[in-house]
Amino acid sequence: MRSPARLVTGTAAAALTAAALGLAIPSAHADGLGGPEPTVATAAPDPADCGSADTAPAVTCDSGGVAADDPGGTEDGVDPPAGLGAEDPDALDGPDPAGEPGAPDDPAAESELSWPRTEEGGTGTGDEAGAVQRPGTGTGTRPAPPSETAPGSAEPPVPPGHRPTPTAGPSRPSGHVGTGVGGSAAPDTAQLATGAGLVAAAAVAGVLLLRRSRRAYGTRR
Amino acid sequence: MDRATLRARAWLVGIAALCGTWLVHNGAAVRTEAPQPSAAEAFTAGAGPRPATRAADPLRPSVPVRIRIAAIGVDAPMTGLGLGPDGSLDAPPEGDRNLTGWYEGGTPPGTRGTAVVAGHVDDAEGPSVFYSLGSLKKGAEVEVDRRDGRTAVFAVDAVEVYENDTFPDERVYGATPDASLRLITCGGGYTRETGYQGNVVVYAHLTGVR
Repeated sequence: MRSPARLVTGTAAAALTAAALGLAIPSAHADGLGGPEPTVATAAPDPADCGSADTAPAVTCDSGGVAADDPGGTEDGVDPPAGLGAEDPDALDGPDPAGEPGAPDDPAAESELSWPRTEEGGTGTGDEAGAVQRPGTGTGTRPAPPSETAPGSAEPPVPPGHRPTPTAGPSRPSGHVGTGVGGSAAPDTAQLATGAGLVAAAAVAGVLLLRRSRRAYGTRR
Repeated sequence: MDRATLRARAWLVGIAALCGTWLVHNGAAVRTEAPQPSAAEAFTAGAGPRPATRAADPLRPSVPVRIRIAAIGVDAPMTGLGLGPDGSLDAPPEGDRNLTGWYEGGTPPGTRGTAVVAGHVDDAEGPSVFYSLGSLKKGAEVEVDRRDGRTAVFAVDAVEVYENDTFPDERVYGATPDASLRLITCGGGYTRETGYQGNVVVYAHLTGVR
């Protein structure tokens, strides 16, 4: 049987751990897309670590989606895998730093990625130089795979105190889409029956009328 | 029965016959069921939505303006779509049967990630822009014109149909490492009471840029 002292010690340790995680996680998740991202939970970012090549995962350098980018936006591997809600419409149609129409934006970025990815909330805005991040779009918070960061590349330091904006939740659709009303799906049987009945009744009435008219005019002649 | 009465009744019978004929014609108008994908067009059982060929390098974000699918005669403008209160993707506005929409809160077509484009299969009058989506085959080409002047070219990897109740959100909307495209319209079974009971989903990946 455990002694009360040991139980208390264990409880205290657990409480301390929970408190530490509780302090760390919100900043790491702050502008995520709301999807389950277990790998992010352990990545309490420390700005002091940013820029260190051997602490490669870009999540620790979160700065609103541009932390992993080279300032010019031309370096390979700056465009993390994206999910829905990842792109910032404000940055659409922005200038292409590569400057070559049709040229690959980040040729090496996906070489080691594999299908399917189950995590949500990828960003894909990493290649948007100078992109203005909209709150709730959750850019730049998902950890980029190590393969996406050029070996030995030093990531720019994050200004102290720069923290992502809290998010409004997942921004990808869910469920089916209501894109049809069935106007082309099936004949209207009720209308068919009514019409057929009307035609039949008219035919019967017409025959009766003919008979009566013949009888009437026949007797007169 | 005098002549006037007979004439009046004859008119009534004639009008009734005309109305009946119109009802029959209207009710039996050719209303074929939208084509549904065959099992051969689905991904291999157990496999995730993988591209059949190597994906091209993704483009930078740019607003899509038009979509073309030569195999089924689609050439339609695109509009932006949002989410409904329940989180589902809004459908394109009704009234224009040749209009598609993309989820503008997400990934633009051609950019890394999963871009979603929806279109109506039909409306009360008849077939709409994505009526034949279910007849697309693997390898078919989908082109998306973008505002930056580039055209993203996608190849169809699979065409699947899902029941509304078991719609696989992660499979359809989940993140992808490549520039992927999902085309969605109504499909599956149909009843007059409940409407369409599922969605047809086309999976495609970026294969080139023009």
